[in-house]
Amino acid sequence: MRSALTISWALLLGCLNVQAAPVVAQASACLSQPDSVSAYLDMVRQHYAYSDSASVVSAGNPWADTTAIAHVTVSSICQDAVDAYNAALGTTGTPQQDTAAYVFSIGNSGYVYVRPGDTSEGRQHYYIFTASWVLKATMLG
Amino acid sequence: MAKTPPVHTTPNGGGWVNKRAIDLLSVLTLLAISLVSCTDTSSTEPSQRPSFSGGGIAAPTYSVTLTPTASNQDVGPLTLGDYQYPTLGVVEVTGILDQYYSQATRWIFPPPTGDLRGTLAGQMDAGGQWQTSQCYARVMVIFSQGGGEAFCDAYNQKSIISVWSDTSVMKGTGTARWYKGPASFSSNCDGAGKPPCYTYDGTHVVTVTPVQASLLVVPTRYVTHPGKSSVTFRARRTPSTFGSHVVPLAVQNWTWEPDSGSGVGPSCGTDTTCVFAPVASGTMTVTALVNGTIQSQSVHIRVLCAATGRPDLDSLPLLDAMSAAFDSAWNADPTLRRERGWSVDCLDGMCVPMVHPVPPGTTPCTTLWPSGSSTGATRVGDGHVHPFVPGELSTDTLPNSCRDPDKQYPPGIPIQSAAGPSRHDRRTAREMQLTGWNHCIIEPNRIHCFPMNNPDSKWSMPRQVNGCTIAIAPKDNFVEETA
Repeated sequence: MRSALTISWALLLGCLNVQAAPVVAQASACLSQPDSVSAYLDMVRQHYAYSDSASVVSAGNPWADTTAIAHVTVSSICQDAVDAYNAALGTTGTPQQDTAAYVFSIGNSGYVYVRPGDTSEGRQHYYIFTASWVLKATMLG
Repeated sequence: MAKTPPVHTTPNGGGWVNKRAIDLLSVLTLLAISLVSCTDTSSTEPSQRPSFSGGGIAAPTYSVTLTPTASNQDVGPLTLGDYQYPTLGVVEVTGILDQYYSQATRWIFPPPTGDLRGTLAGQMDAGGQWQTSQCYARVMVIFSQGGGEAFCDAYNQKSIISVWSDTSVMKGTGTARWYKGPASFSSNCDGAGKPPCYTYDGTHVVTVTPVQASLLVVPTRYVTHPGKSSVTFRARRTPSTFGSHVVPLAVQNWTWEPDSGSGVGPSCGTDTTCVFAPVASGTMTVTALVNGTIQSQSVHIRVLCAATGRPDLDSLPLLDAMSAAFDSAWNADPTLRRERGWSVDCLDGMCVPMVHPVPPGTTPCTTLWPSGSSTGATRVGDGHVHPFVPGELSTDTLPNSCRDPDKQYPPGIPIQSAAGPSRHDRRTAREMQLTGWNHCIIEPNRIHCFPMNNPDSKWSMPRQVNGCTIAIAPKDNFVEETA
């Protein structure tokens, strides 16, 4: 019995171990490093504060008042963003695919996606999606 | 979206023959003024110097040659030319006549004098010879509607001189004449049917040379704000006097041409002073008769937008630099636009607005930041241009040259410019560790400024307020270009 119990515990633990892997894999797709969130949010808000809403809206792009621009922490939304980005770039299922990103909601009209590690000496890239995850533009800032 | 590192940069950025020479001089002078382009930072004026595009302009020079041959025969009148309008000039006669005793028998004397006929009697200049209260054998220049000169060596007090000249205001048709002489009191010569008493050899060359004079228009200010007091324009000529005479000036009209659109001009008639309060930038032109020639001269008056309360946007040298930078950065073709850096450095109260050159390898989306002020000068402001409308995708999609070569972009997706200073702009400002002035980024529709040492403390203003566009170059409105 002891052996059987031991085996059962081992099996149970083994099952638990097996089940632990998916928990790690399902870590949030929302990046939340505070300094980066603050900096990106400031830039996104700045852009919408100083852009002409009529031009933006007439081009079919998302637009919202700066007070309605927020950092997204809901993992499912961020995962949708990551999936949409990978699909747009053609990197889904490749080693180059993103698994997490900084995502900002533009009211309920769309999202801005910022890749992790996009801190080149040049320009920061902001990818603008509609609410239905259609990539509309790449914004350099 | 400026590119590091900051580098040192440099700032960008008769008489017709005589008339051409003067015109060339004027052009060179203007060029020198344009290159210096210093502006007093403590004031909003002047932003320009008076322009002298007219140069020295003169009415035509006329000349005739008088060739007297005998003492009993006038020469002329010979026509010199015509001055339609009062013209101040120099009337000059050059040349000395050799005077010979004629073949008249009166010149045959008993010894020891003997026969003087055909021998040199003396010389005669344009002033002639004074006899019984008047001059004979002299040159007279007369204009039909006034002016000219009757040369006369009164009381024969002058020795023979080769050049006689004087100034006169002339109008009408000019003629030159040699008045015969000297007067003869002999019945043996100069009378009817008699030989002349004297013969002459030589010429008097008569020349009238108008004074070269230029029209100027001088305003009391070159830059004004809406609601500020009127600008007083004065028509002047230089020189204003010549010799003891005043150079003629007669204003024909004043006209005002706004830089864009139409506007009500002044009603100043033919006054030499015109008081006018422009409501928008434009050019005042005065047309006047200046010493016999019709000349026009213009001066551009800038009407700035109403004061913003932001010193950066109300200071003329900064506005000049910003407008020049934007003007040079903008092009209707997005691929030809370039970010341009600008700066204003001051030394001893004089400020130099500069637009920095485009470094090799820059794109419509990158440039090098202006370096710190040059040695000895104080930086009062700098910045650069973002020559794209943020968020605008229909006309201002960024050119492909703006794409980073080491990055992948979703195919078929346009790239656009973000509004305001980029993260990189702010990072660069921090890294430069400079303080004491604001860095301003000029977009087509907004201006964003921040202190160099605190880029997060930024402020922003629309460029167009109440129909007035801040920091836009006169006569080169980008809105008109893209329309």
